[in-house]
Amino acid sequence: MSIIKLCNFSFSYNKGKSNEVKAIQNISLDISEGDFVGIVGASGSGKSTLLYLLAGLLEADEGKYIYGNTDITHASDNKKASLRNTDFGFVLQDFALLGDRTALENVCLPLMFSKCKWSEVENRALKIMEKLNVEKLKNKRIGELSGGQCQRIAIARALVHNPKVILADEPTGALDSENTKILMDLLSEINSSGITVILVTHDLATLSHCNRVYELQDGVLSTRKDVINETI
Amino acid sequence: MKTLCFAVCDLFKNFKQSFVLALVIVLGISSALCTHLIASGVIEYNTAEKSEYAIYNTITYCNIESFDQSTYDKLAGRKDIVNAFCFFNAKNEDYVLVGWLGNKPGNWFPLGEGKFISSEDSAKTAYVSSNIAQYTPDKTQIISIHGWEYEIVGSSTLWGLNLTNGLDEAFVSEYISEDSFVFVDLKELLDMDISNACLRIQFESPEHRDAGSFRRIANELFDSNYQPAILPADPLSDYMLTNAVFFVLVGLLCLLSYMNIVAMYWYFLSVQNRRFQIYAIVGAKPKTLLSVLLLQYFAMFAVSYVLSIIVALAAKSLFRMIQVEYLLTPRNLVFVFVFEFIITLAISWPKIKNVIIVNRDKGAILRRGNG
Amino acid sequence: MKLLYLMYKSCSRLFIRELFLVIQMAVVIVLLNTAITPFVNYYQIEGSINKGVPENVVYYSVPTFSGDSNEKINYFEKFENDKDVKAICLTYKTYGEINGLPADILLYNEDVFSCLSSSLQSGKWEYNTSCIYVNEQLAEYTNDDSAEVVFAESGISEPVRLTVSGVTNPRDIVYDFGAAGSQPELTRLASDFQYIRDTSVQHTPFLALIPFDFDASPYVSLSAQGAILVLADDITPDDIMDKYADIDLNGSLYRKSTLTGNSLNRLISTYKFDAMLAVLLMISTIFGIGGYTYLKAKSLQKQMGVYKLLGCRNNTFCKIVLFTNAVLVVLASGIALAVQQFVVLGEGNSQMASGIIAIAFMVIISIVPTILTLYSSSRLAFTELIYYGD
Repeated sequence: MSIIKLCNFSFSYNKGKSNEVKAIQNISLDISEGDFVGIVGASGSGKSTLLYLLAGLLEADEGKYIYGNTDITHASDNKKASLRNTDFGFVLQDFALLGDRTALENVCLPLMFSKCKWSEVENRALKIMEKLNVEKLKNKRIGELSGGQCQRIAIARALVHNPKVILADEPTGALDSENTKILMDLLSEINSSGITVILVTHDLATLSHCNRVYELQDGVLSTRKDVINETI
Repeated sequence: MKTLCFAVCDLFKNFKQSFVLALVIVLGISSALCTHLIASGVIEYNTAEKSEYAIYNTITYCNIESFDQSTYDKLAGRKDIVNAFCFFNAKNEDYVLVGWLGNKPGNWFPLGEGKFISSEDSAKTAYVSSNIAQYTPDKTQIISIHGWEYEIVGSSTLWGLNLTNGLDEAFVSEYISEDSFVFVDLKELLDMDISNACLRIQFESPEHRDAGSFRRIANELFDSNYQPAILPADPLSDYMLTNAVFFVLVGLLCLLSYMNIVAMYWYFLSVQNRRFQIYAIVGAKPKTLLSVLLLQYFAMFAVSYVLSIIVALAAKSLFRMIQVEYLLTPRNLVFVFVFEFIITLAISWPKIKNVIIVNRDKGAILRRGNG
Repeated sequence: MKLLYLMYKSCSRLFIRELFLVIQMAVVIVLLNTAITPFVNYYQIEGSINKGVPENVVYYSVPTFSGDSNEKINYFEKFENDKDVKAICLTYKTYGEINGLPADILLYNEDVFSCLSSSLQSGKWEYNTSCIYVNEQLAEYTNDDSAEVVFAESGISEPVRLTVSGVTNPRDIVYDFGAAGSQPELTRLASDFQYIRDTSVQHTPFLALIPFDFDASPYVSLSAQGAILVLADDITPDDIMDKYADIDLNGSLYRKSTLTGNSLNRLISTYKFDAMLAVLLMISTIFGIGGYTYLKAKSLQKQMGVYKLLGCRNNTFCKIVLFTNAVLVVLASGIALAVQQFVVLGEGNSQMASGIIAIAFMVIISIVPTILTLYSSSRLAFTELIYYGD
């Protein structure tokens, strides 16, 4: 079943100005539930922009965005925020964790904006941290953690509210090979539990876990079947 | 030169990135400095006004047992003396005799009826307190002093405090035991039988007062027979003592507004942290980074200060509407700038050092987006 | 609960600075209140008098030095026979005991009640010599609506029992026409007892107004120091001033506008440093604390980016920031209020002024910069938000 469908999606930075940049041009994309999608491309090809568009953090200039059975192209900010809080989980290259708080507090954050009861917040966060084997880091400040640990905390935060889709923007960018492998195995495991994973990366080695790979070049999307064949 | 250019460009780019932020920081610092300038200007104005009062320009000598020609010549010969008067309880009389040099009472007491005594009067004249005689123009009144007759040319209501103004209250009881006063020309006291007299000499109010000027004059004037002189009080200290609440409130105001200067600058430093770490990583020496920070600090402070001076000057007419005047003297301007500059730098020194030193704990700052 | 947690977290990072901000705001509220209190007092008194005294009046003040004090003169006789003067409103201030409690007492003649508006909080404003009006403090001791009055000045009257008919204005701003001096002021036509009592422990907290027959008591009528002369309908203050310009009044006449002008001049010259303090405080507060609040909100932009990523709605984040600032201002106001109970700087503090200053603080210093920051942040792209400070 299709979970995300983009039809003729376009987006430009500084639209109408002299320094306009067409980041995404006429993209059509159909992602089914349970897919592990990889999007590759060189730096500046528009990968992160596509991810932010999928998350509703940016609004497309043209096209349609259908999530599930709902057209959310022109949905309100509140609606999109709700979706991010209930259905989407984020993992960014720079982790996007709040440095002045502990790991546990960072993991609890999504639940603060959800309907989850106050008394259940910490329990749920601890549960997911246990599952990812980062429970021991719960009282440590983000500044005291290594890159790999931070990334796992970021994943814990992305999973704490039981999302349907994980959006990962170059999650292995700041990690060494060992931690990259650990992270990718983790994402595969998450995907195998039925959660759709959309991974944006420029590292071809990480695409072996993906069942569908797209290439983004100068804002134009194409399928990369050859990459799948090579890695599989 | 390269460091200076780099510092200026770096600051400019930093502020260009967020103009509103720059404006907020500069205005915040400016408003605090302006407040300090105006507050200190008000105090300076009031102090300058007070320093023209007689009591702050008067040297007093006590326990005088004689008054001779040389003393008189010294006083009459000085052009910077406004008034000089010597008073004592007249022997076997019920009044205080005051020998006065000068043609007007000035700020010492209000001129009542008639006129004041003058050295140019052809005959011997006297000015008396109303309880001795009330002057009337159509009646000639005479008072006899030490066998001489003096025509009363004027009278007024007077108290001992009029003569001992600016001195301790105990002076009234020590040197004035009567509540009647007779004023004659100072020359009349020559070779009179004087005991336990007080001599007060009022000088012109000086343009530039310094601590030793009255001491110097006191030493110049008389030898040890007339020592020790009681020097006039400092108008600023006096002002502070008599308006303690006002000074406390102004002090609090300045302290509060000063905290904003520190807060603004510390915020500015916190925003520099990551950039300076990157500069250090690419090879900038701590000394260079320190120079850059100090130059930026100076530039920001100077711009804010110039703005505050402009506002303070412009606001003079507005403050005049509420009858408040203040002075913006060069001395005041320089002092406020230097004082605030140094104090802020001293308080912010640990933070400045923190910005320029590279250590492994800074890794979190360098990781982009980890706040 | 979650909102409280998020509010706490948004300021716990720089907790010392927030504490500093609270203390700073509290001190500014106290200082600003101290600085503007004289002006607030002035406007309250002036407003009350202006409301109660009609426009078509002149004020007459007896001479300051009226010669031999044993010789009593009826200074108002000439006006009693003047057709142009409709009424002569007289008051006399004295003291005594009301139900055994020391109290300030003001005697009012009949014309005060018929020509001037009520200066009561409650009760009927009428001339009835068996009535007495008390202030709130005294009202607590007159439960059966009756008061035993003993005048300290025996020449006024024997002790008398009166019926309590009303309660004075909350601040006890009541008519009181004393001698004016050479520069009479509008505020001198009233007594503001609460304002005085706040700063003087010797003063009694009790006040009573008594309708009194001045004609029946020469002691009182000849001791009155001033009067409001209410003019006949077709007579203006200028007419009466011209009429008496060349006559030896043995006293002085003043227009209401003269009194207002003198009040204002004295206010400014006496309290110019308070005004200066207030102006400087406002300058440094608006730019200083306002600027700091703006910077604080700006520094939360990264947090805003992360929250946005995790599904926080715009209005939720706005609530966090605004409520946090609101709590800080309320805390500062509370501290200021507590401090003002113990520290009286200058001439008493006005609770209303404190409240107004606190609200102004809330709006101008805390809310406006926050709204401006949030508005500008909402226009930033997500990437600019999350990487703020780089």
